[in-house]
Amino acid sequence: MKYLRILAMEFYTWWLTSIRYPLDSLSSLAVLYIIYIGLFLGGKVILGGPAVRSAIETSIIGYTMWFLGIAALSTMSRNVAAEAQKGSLEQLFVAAVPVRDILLLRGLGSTLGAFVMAFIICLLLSVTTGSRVPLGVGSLPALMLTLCGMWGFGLCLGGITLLSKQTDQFVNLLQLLLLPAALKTDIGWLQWFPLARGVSVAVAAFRQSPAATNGLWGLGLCAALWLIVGALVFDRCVLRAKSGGTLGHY
Amino acid sequence: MPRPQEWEFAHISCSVGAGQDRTAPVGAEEISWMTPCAVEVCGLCKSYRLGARIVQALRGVDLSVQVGEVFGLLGPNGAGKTTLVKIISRLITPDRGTVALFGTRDYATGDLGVVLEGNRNLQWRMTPLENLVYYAVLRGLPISESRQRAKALLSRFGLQDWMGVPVQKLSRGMQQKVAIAASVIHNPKLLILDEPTLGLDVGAVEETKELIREIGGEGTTILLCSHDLEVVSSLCSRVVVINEGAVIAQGSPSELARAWSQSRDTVVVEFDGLSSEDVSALTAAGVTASDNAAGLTLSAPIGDRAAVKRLLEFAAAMSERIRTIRQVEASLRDAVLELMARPARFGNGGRER
Repeated sequence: MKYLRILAMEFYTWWLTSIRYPLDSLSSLAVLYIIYIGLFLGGKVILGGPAVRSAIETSIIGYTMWFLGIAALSTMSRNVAAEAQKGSLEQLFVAAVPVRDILLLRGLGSTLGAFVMAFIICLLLSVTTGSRVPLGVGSLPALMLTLCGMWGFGLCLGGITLLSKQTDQFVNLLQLLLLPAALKTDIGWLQWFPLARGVSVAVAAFRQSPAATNGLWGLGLCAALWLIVGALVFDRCVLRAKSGGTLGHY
Repeated sequence: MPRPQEWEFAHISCSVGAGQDRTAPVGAEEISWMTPCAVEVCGLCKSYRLGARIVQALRGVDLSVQVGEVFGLLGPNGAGKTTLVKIISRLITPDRGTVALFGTRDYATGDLGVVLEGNRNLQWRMTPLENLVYYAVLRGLPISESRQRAKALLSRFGLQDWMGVPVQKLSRGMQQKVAIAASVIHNPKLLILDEPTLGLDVGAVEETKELIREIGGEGTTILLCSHDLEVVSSLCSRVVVINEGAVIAQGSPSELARAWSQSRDTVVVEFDGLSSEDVSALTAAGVTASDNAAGLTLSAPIGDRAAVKRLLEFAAAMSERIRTIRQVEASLRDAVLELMARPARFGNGGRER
C-alpha cells in the first residue's frame, strides 16, 4: 500500500506540473505530433508502394517505444539532477522507503504520464491521417517489459548522476545512440538491450506472429537482468556519494 | 567555579547512561535495562578527500542527547556540525564510530524529521499543502490522513491562507515554517534542525523559535545546529561546542558562559567629563578606557584583581563624576568566542592532516 500511495503521489505530481505549465505541456505534444506525422508522411514519400504500410508500422511502434523508453531512462537521471539542484534530494533519502524505489515509482508515474501523451498523439494521428494506429493491446506486455528494462538502465544513469551531478548532455547523447536500437532491431548485440528486443517483440505481437510469445520470455529475462544491474549500480553509487559526503551537492 | 582548563575537551561517556557497550555488536544495544538516550554518538570520525588533501571533518566525536531534550550544536563554519547531523540522518557514512537513536543503531531514517540548512527542503513548484502531503506519503502516511494533518499543521503554523500558493512565491520565513511543518508531519521522535534561522528577519526568527519551543514542549527531541547563539541559548537545555571536528566543551548555556568566560566578566564604570588622558596611569595597570559622547567608560576584567582595585580606588576618588557603575557578566557568545580563540587541539593547528 505504501508503494501504491507513493506511485499515486508521483503521478499526481506529474499531472500538477503538466497543468501548471500548460504551454510547456502543449509544446511537448506538438513536438511529438510533428515527429509522428513526419515519420508517417516521410515513410510514404520515401518508400511508396506495398512496402510502405509495414515500414510505417515498424517505425511508429519503434518510435513510440523509443519515446516511452527514453522517458523511462532519462527520468531517473534528470530527477536526481533536478532534485540535487533544487536541494531537495536529501529529503528523499530520509523517506520511509529507499530512494531507489522512490525513483522507480517516480519513473513509473512519469511513464504513465508519457503513455497518456502517446495515446493522445496516436488518436490525433488516426484522425488526421485516417490510418489505423499500430499500438494494439497485444503490444502492451512487450512495452511494459521494455520499460522495466529501461528503468534498470535508468537506475544506472541515476547512480552515475549522483556521482557526477551533471549528465544532461550524456543522456541526450544516449538518446541519439539508442534511436537505431528502436528502428533497426535485427542487430545481434543490440538484443541484449531491452529497447531493441522490446521493439522486435512488440512488432511481432502487433502482427500476431508466434515469435512474440517466445520473445516475451527473452525480453522478460533481459528486463529483469537490467533491473537487477540497475539496482546494484545505483546502490553502489549511493554508498559512494554518502561516503564522499556529496549526496546533496550539485 | 571550575577553571576553564578543567572543562577542556570534556569527554562525554558513551557507555554510562546509555546502557550500551561501545564495543557491542549491532543489535546488542537493544537489550538495555536503562532508558536509552535519544541520540548516542560514539567515536565518530569522518574525513573528506579534497583533491590531494584530506580534510578531517570529525575527530572522534562523542555526545548523548536525552529523550525530550532540545540540544544545541555550536561551532564556527567548517567545525563539523553539518557533517555530524548528516551522519545522524544517514546522509553521510562515517569512517569510524557509531550512532544509535533511541537505543538502536538499526534505525529508520523515515522516523526522523530533518530540516537541512537553507531552503533545501521543499518542492518549489508545489504549494505548502501539496508539499506536506507529498512528504507525509513518502514517510509512510495514508493520503487522506496526510491531507488532514497537513491542513491542521499549516493552520497551527499560521499558514492557512497560504496553503495554495506555490512555495517559490512565499517569503523565506514562510518557506522555513513550511519546511519545519513538513519535517514534523509524521510526528518524528527526533527532529534535526540545521541552521533553522539562517537568513530570516528578526520577526521570522522569533516565530521560528516559538515553533521550535512548541514542538520541543510536546516531547519531541530536537537536535539544533546553529550559529545564532541567542537562539541556542534561549531554546537549548544543553549544548556542545564543536571546533575542528572535535567536541571542545559541553553543558547548559549558562554553565558554559560561567565556566568559559570568567575572564570576560568585567566591572564597568562610566564617568561624565573625563577624558582618556586623565586616566593614562590606569590603563597602564590593565584598565581599559574608551571615550564616548557623554564622557569616559573604564572597565577591568574581574579576573585581574589589581586592575579592579585600581579602578575602584579611582572611582572612589572621582565619585562625584560617576554616571553608572555595574558588573557585566559574560554571555554564551563570550564563552564561544573564547573557546574559538584557543589554540587548536591538534598538532598542525588546522583541519588538514
